[in-house]
Amino acid sequence: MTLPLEGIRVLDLTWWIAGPLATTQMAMMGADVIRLESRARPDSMRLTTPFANGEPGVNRSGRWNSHNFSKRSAALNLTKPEAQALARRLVAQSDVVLENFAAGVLDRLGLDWETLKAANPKITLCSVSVVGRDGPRSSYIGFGPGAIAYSGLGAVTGHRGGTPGTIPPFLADYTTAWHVALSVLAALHERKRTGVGRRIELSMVEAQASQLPEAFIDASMNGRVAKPKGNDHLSVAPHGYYPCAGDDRWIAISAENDRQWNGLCSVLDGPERRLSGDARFADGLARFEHRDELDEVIAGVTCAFADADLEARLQAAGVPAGIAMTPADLYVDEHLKAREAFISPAHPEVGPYPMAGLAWKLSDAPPVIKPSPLLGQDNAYVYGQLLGLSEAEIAALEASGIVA
Amino acid sequence: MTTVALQDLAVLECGTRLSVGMCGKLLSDLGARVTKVEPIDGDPARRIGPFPGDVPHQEQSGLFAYLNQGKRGITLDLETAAGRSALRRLAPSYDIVIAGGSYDELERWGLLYDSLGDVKPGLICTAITPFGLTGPRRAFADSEIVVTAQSGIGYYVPGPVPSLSMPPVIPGTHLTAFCAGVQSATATMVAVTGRSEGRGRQVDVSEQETFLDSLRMYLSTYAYEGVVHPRGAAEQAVAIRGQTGQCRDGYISNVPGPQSTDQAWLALVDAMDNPEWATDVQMFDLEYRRAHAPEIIARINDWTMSLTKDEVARRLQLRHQTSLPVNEIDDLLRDEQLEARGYFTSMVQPGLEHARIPLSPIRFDGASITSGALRAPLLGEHNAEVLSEAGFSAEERLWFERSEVM
Repeated sequence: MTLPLEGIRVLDLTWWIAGPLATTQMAMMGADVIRLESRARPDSMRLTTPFANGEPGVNRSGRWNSHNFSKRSAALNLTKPEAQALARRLVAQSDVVLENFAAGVLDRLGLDWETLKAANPKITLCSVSVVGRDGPRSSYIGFGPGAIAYSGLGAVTGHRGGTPGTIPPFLADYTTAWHVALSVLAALHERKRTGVGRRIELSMVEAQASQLPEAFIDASMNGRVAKPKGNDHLSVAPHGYYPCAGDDRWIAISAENDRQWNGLCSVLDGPERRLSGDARFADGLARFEHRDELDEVIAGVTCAFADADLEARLQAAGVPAGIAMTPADLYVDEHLKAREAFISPAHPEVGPYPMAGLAWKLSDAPPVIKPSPLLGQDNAYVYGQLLGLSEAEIAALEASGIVA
Repeated sequence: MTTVALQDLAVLECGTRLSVGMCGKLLSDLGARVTKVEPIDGDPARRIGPFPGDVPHQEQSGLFAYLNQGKRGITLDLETAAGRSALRRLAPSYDIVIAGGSYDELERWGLLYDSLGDVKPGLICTAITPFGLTGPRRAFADSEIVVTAQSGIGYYVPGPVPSLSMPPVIPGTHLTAFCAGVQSATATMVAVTGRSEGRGRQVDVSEQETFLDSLRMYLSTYAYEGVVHPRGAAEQAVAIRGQTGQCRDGYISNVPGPQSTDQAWLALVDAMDNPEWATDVQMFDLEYRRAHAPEIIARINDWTMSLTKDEVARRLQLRHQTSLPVNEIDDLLRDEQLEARGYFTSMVQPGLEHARIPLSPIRFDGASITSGALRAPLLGEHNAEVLSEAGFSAEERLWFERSEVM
């Protein structure tokens, strides 16, 4: 069976998440993704914990392995001019180059846009940075946590009156990765018509901030600067996380109409009719106006329930309710299992470890699932098969620290 | 610029989830011709706002205007048989049908590939549902906060908390919907890329799983170490990433701290203009700094409090540190970097001209792919036009306009 992205070759020079996850998605759908990376200065994520069995090693990082599967790896030390020449030859046989170096690095490596285009007029280049490649702060560097802070997402997320939230701190990387995959596919689609590629550029801050339209509109138009608002909804109460029995267990509940409210009461009321019998909660407006008191009453009841039991009872009563799942919950969840949301390809050095697979499904296109590559495992394919170098030539390049 | 990258693609967008609106927006931003199908009382986003002066008006909701710039709009009641058959007659004019709703709704409305795929060879049907088209939870009662909780992200928002008695909170924007919207657009483009003569596809996007995609760091911690990353890990976060410092006008992220590497510590000392207390020889010893962390943090805070967050960031960035300001919403609207890149533009929607919104973050050849020059459709604005181009007769069009179906 032909996968949708078969025939597309991607050279991936990126680090961490914003680039690598995008190319992993493409690789799962059939693209030939080659990570060009150097032992002298590997993706620093390869050097981060957790390591398999606690033993450090460039092929052993759980973080790296769960963001980089289904692709190839070829060693290449781009600080060497000979390596840069090899990269340009690969560009001539590729469709897309991705990079997220600091500003100016691509130029210094002899892989600037004009050079890439000269090597292959059909090439698309996608560059990712934290605040953008032009403008007065184009030299700024940063990771996801800083991008979330800069984007304003932190400023609107948190407990009422609290300090800005940090969110799971790498969200901006993921948000950017999804935009990267989309924009590359759009450029490739356009190329079928125009015959030429695009220079794509994305800033992590701008990708994340594009998801805050209401806050920007309200501030500019009505002069109201959004602050953390806890679990307040614009019009719905109850709406929040409520404690369940056990240590740090929570269930999310919302009831946006009388039908859902009645369902909620049927489960939580008790003989005292603590909810349906209280005039403060008589209708939707009353509940909204007394939402803090309502939260307190509900929390006083939910804390006696086991979370799974309460979720099942509320769902059976038609109430939107769901456990705040932790990683431990997610891996054993029957629904996610049934949907094969997790994969465990056997990695040649560390063995199988479970991780999230492709987040969406296409009919008749089962994703390619291969373990993340060992650094340089595909040198023979990349330099032999693609560039036509002999084994002896590749060995010499390895020995001289160029393919290394 | 306004890109025409996807100009050859016609998209029919159905359903009321914000995720479907975001998916359609991204495809529209990239040049696709998107027609939005709304229920006869309008998309719920028309009731969300923000509204000018807080006066609700179905044509002046900021969120609706943002998500639907450049789309055409029709109304159609998919709960009626006539509405559903009209949709089947419209679909052959499109390459892609993106549909958002619960599993039950999409099935009832006839928007899954199983029931719609026969109207046109090669049709791509993208379904965006809270929990996907398969699996025991596909019929779960859902809401934004429930999907967020079930994605695994919910547990970790807002970030480290001082006490585990504080509940998680929902993100301050529609993140589950918007993240699903971006990934739905990507998945749809994968299907378009692989489109072959006569063979269409079902694209199945679960909002739960698209948000779970961003939990990979913590999932790997559990898979490799058997440890659930703690949500009350404020102190650990400081040790690893540096601290969030308080400045004269707010906060700064990732300031090097006493426990940072020697290299980061030296950069900090230099950024502080090498004060006497920090250049003492003992301070160049990580163990010493660790032992005296509280006093050192207090000293660093004295320094950050004497400056603005932009100035602290500038000084540390000059020394290759990843510190960035923690911006408030109004900070972004006057940020020199975003200004220089032309990130914000004024809306063209009548009544919303004072509203500033981001252009697309996707830039082609040095400029955003959108110009902000397009407005969202009025409710039912393109009813006649869309029916007419799909071959509905004058009499049929009149019937729809007069009936309660459109």
